[in-house]
Formats: sequence, C-alpha cells, structure tokens
Amino acid sequence: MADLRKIRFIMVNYSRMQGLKAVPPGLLLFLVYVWANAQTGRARDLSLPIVYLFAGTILYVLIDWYYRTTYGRVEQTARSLWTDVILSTVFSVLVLGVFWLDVSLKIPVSIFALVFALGLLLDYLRMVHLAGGQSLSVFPAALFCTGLIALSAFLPLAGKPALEFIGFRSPIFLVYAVDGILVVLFGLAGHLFLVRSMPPAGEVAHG
Amino acid sequence: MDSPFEELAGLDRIIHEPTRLSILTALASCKAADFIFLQRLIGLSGGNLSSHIAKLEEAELVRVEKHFVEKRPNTRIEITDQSRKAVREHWKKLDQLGEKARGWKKE
Repeated sequence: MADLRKIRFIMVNYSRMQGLKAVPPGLLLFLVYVWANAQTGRARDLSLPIVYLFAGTILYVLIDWYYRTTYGRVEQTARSLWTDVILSTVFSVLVLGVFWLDVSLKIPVSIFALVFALGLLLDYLRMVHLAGGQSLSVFPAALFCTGLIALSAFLPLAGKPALEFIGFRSPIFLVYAVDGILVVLFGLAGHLFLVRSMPPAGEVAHG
Repeated sequence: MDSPFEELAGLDRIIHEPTRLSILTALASCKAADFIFLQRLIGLSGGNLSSHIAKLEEAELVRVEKHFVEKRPNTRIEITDQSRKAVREHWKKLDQLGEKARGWKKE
C-alpha cells in the first residue's frame, strides 16, 4: 500500500501529475521556435505551425483519454476547481504579458523564463501545501526542472557567437526552444512519478 | 480518563482498518473518485477493493453510483459528509494518541 502522504499528494494534485499532458504544449513551443528561427524575413506561410497546433491538440485529447481509462478519474471539490481556474487564468495573462516584454525590451535576460519558473515554483509549493506536507521533497524532479527553466533565462548572456554556433539567430528563440524541451522533461518526470506511485493493482490482506 | 490502550481499542474499526482508512483519507480530499483510480492509488485487486467499498457503503460512509461513461461501465465513489467529518476526527485522535505515546517512559 502506498504511504498516506503520497496518497494525499496524488489525490489533491492528480490533474497536475498527469505529466504527459505537458508534452504537446512543450513540443509545440519547441517546434514553433525552431520553425521561427528558420524563417528569413517576414513569415508568410503559417501552414507548418498550424499543423503543429492541430497535431498537438489531437495528441492532448488522446493523452487525456489514456489517463481517464488507465488511471481513472477524480472530481475536484468546487472550491479547488475554481481556485485552479482563477490561478491558471492569471498565470496565462501574466505569461503573455512577459512574452510581450521579452520581445519588445530586448534585454539579455528572458523575463518570460524567470516568471514561468517562478509560476512553476509557486504551483509546486501550493501542491505540497494542499497535501498538508511539510517536506518539499515529494516530487524533487519538479524542483530540478523549475531550476533549469530559471537558468535558461540567462542563456542570452552566452553571446551572439555562441548562439550562432548552435544555429540560433535570436537569443529569445533559443530560450523558448530550450524551455519547450524542459516543459516536455517536466511532464515526463510527472508521468514517471504517477506511474511509480500508482502501479497496476496488487493484493493486500483483507481487513 | 481512558488509558491510551483503551483509547486505541475504542477507535472505530470500520474506519481504522488501514486499507479503508487509506480509501477514506483519499476520498476526503476530493469530491469523488472512480473505482479504477482508487484501485491504482491504493494498490488493491478489484475484488479486494470491492469488498472494502461494500463495507464502507454498508456503514454509510461512502455513496456508490454505477453508470456508463463513454460506453464503459464506471463506478463513482463519493464520501458522505458524516464520513468526511469522521475521518477528520479519526486522524485527530490518532495524532493525539501519537503525542501521548511519545511521552511514555521506559520502565
């Protein structure tokens, strides 16, 4: 039987632990910025990003179906659901705002990556708090990926020659592509945590 | 005042059994969950979980609804308000007993 601390952590954070759901948006972020990096001049043909978006949506729906049929469903309490909706809306607006800042300010540090990492860190702290935990080490891979995303904000400091050496013509493109990969890794870590915490059913003694 | 052993013996056995306590603790932190989820979370076989759920339903600690979702049979299990309160009280008692036990001295 799983320990009660883990049971409670998974119960209150089940939707967040469905890590494979982070793979389509992460891949989308990566592929769109690799595509943008390959464009010279103003991009006129947007068919490839639209195909990515379409494929990502289908993949997300399939992953959602996989979790519902393999791991089952949990209905959140109304209060927890509303808090999630409000927090994710605020976070999305904030991320769009800092994306605009990144594009217009052109400073050598990505504010998007820093805010994104801060958002993930606050979300993780909330996950632990909701589970009544006193230790942050329930899901350390999340903290590790968050740290890497924060560090990715400073990639532009590597300088133009280093960026050109790895084939990126804009530091922002590199940061966003790297963050896309880190989101995928974050998702895979979450999925592995779920798989290890919820193995196929075994037997325990009757009470 | 009861001794810690008397208090332990006085705990509700339906709730206190480890598997059922895990099920109730899990259900107390959400609105409802389905059978597949609980089976994987607690790590029980279908038959074993069914028998525990049946005992909890009999004691009116959970409500069970069977229906079809996307043409598949689905069992939804919801904790009752009375049970939610009972689980909270149960954990409180266990914590208090744990505190008392820490104060025991070797003879």
